[in-house]
Amino acid sequence: MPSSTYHVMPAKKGWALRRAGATDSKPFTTQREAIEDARKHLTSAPGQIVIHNADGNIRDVEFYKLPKIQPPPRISRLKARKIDRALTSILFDPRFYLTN
Amino acid sequence: MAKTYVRSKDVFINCPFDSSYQPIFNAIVFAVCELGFRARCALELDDAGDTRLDKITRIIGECKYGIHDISATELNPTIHLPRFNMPLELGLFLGCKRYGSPSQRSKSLLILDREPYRYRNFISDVSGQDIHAHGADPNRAIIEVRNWLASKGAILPGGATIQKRYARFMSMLPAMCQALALDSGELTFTDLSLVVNRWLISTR
Repeated sequence: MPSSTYHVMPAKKGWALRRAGATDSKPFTTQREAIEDARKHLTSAPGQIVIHNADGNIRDVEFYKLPKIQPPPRISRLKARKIDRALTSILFDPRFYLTN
Repeated sequence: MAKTYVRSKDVFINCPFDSSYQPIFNAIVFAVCELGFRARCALELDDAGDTRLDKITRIIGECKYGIHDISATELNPTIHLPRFNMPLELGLFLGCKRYGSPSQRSKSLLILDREPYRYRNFISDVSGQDIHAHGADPNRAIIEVRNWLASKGAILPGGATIQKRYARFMSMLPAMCQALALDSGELTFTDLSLVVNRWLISTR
C-alpha cells in the first residue's frame, strides 16, 4: 500500500493540511484540528505527519506503519532548516510525484 | 579499554568511494536510511587526530550491521595491484564479530559483489556468509539491502517501493541542490546523509 506524508503548515488564516505532491490544501483554525484530521487519514494506510511551527520549520514528525527515520551520524555543514526550506520550495510540485 | 556501545540501528557501509561507484553508494545510503537505519562509513569523520584505521575500527565497533561491497577488488590497470581496503575492513568486521564482547558477536553483515560466486576466485574464505550480487545496478543493490534487513524480522517497505522513492529523490536532488546553491557533486557523505534524512521526513 502506498504511503503518504501530510504536512501541517501555517497558513494565511490559521493552519493548513497538505499532502506531499498535492496541489491543494485543507484549511483549519487550529494546529490541533489539522493534526487530528491528518491522523484520520493514516488509521489504515502507512504514512507520516510532519508538524511545522508557526515559522514554517519542522517541529515534529509522527510515523505510522513506517520505520522511523534516524538522524544522520554527524553534523553536516549544511543546516537542516536550510534543507527544509529548499525542500518546501519544491515539495508540492506534482512533477516529482510518481504513482506509488 | 573503554567498552564500545553497539548501536542497534547503525549500518557500516564498506565500499569504494570513487565516482564510478557513486550511484550504488548513494542507492545503498538511501535504502539504509529509508528502512529506518543510520548509514555510517569512513567518510563521516575528518578528525586529523585519528589514523584512518582508528576511525574505521571505531565505526565498526559502534555498528551492529555491516554492508561490505567487494566488487572493486580487481587489478588496477596502471599499477597492476588490486585495492585491498574493502576486504581488509570486511576482515576487521568479522574479527570484531568473532572475538568481541557478546554485544559485538550479535553483529550481522551483508557482502555484495558484482557477480555471484566471483568471490570464490579471490576471497573464498568468506564462503558461508551472506553474499549477494548487485550486477553494478543501484536498483538491485537497493533490493539486496532491503531483503537482507527485512530478514532481521522487521516489517519494512518493499524493494520496489524503495526503488520508486529513490528515483523520486534523485529527480528532486538537482532542484534541491540548486536551492542550496550547491552542485550535487559537492555533497559530502554527511551532507548526503542529512539531505536524505530531511527528504524522507518531508516526503515519503
